[in-house]
Amino acid sequence: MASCERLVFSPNPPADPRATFQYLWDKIDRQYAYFDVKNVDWDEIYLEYAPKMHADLSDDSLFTYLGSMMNELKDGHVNLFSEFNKSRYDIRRLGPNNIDFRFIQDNYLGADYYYTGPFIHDFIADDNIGYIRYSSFSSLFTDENMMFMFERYENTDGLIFDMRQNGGGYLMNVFKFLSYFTLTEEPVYTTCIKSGPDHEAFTESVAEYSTPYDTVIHYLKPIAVLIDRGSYSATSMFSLATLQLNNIFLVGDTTGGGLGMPNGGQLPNGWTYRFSITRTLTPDGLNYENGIPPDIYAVLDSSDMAQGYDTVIETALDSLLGR
Amino acid sequence: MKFRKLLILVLLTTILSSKEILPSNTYLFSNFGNGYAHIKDTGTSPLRYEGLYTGTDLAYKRINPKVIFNVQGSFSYAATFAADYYNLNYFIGGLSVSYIHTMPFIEGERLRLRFGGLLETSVSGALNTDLQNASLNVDYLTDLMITSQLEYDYILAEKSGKFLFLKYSLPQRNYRAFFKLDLPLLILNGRPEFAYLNPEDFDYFSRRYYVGGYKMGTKLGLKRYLKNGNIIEIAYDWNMYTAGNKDIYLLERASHNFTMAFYFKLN
Repeated sequence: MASCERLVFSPNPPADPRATFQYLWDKIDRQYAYFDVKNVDWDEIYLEYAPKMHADLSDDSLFTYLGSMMNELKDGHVNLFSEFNKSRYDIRRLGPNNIDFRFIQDNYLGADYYYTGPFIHDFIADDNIGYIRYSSFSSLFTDENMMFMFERYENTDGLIFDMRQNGGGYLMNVFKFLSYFTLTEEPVYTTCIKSGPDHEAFTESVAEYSTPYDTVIHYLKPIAVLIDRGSYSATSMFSLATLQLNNIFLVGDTTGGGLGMPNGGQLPNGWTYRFSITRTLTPDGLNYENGIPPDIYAVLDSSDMAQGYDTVIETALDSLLGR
Repeated sequence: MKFRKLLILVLLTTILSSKEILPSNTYLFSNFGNGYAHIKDTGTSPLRYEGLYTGTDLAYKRINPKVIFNVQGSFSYAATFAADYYNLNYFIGGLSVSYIHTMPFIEGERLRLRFGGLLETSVSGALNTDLQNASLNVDYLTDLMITSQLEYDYILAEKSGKFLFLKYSLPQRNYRAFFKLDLPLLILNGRPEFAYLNPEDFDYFSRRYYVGGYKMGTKLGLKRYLKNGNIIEIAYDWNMYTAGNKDIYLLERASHNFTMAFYFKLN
């Protein structure tokens, strides 16, 4: 029986550094979705890194080379994982650190703010605005959580959703979140998936819609969403979707991007990797993979902070309150 | 030469006597087995994952000298590993119907050869949490197989004696040894498209369907017919499948399973 299997089944590929490099380079070449916006000539990358591969390369050196090669894509969704290290491209470092939550506690929320599900929230600006901090789209929330907050802030002039440094999470939370802020079904972006080895081979684009929640739970007053370079992946998806909703505007720094769905795989030596294999565009075809720009640009300013002001929150308040 | 003469003698003996010595019945069949499996899906990894396999089947069987009819549901699970600690959990659930008929030219009291067909359909799921948004995959497989089974019945006569100072008596024992071989006629595969993507907003039935690949199975076993009409069976079951070179990637899997089964007489 084992002989039959050997006859029909393929052997495992070699796991030496050259073979491992070749395997990874090929996989990215065939499946990565964003060569067009990353301005990377992948063939040139091959010529740069291939000569560095030799049979007696240590695991640590091989990992460093492969990780550097992947980081040429400048993509936070591109990683190499081993038992001793994880390569990453830290998108957050492209912009200033744009949030200091202790500062917000000290100057806006005090000590008695509410925790409702994953949300930290309270009244600010003389009770005219509700401030809601949502730090991860991996955190699940319920209708009851949202209903409580909407009832609490129903007499305010607007809401601030603070999603600075929200590194993403579950895509289903993006659509659940959106469903509370619209009463009509709107196309918010389109997605296509790599369909072949050519860099531009994709499936037909499929539109994704924000669908209104089917009960009375919704909030239609103006909403400022605070973003920065650390607002990544699902948070960028949410930011992208808000471009189609008139009652929501973005304040802060450009998001980190990361609009592709990263899928994973394994190398012949056992290490695993991930990179994006889907492409997300606005309904009119714009590609914001490198980040969604804010409607109103604002970054923390030390002179504002010296006076107890978070520049980004204040900018949002100026707009919401018409100051 | 001697072997050929012996074979002809055995065949003639069995052809001349056309009655089956073991009873015909319908059964509820239940089995459980453990063994070894290996799986390779190059869509996500070039490595072959190897590990423990466990499976169970539940079937309705009608067995008589002319025909074996079988409707069966199966479920199996394999916990497999590669490169020391990466873990792939693999599940297969399947349904099958088979009908095998005794061939008149080798049909006797003790030895018979049966031929027939087997139609089965299965869904397999692979879960490897290290693979991010490709951690979960589902494949579909429907196949039509030519199936053959060679059987040999024998009876150990009632026996009594004395071992040291202990007297014992053994009743008559009825056995059937069998070897089953399944070979493919038609295989329909449902495998991922170019992109391997996880579930969150991915339609699992959107698969690339094609005819191809190769599948094979054998089973070598021994049944003991009990006085009450029930049967106990032990067997070694081997199955292999490859999605073939029409697959964008390549799925290969095999299992070696040692089983114990019970046939509960229904009629």
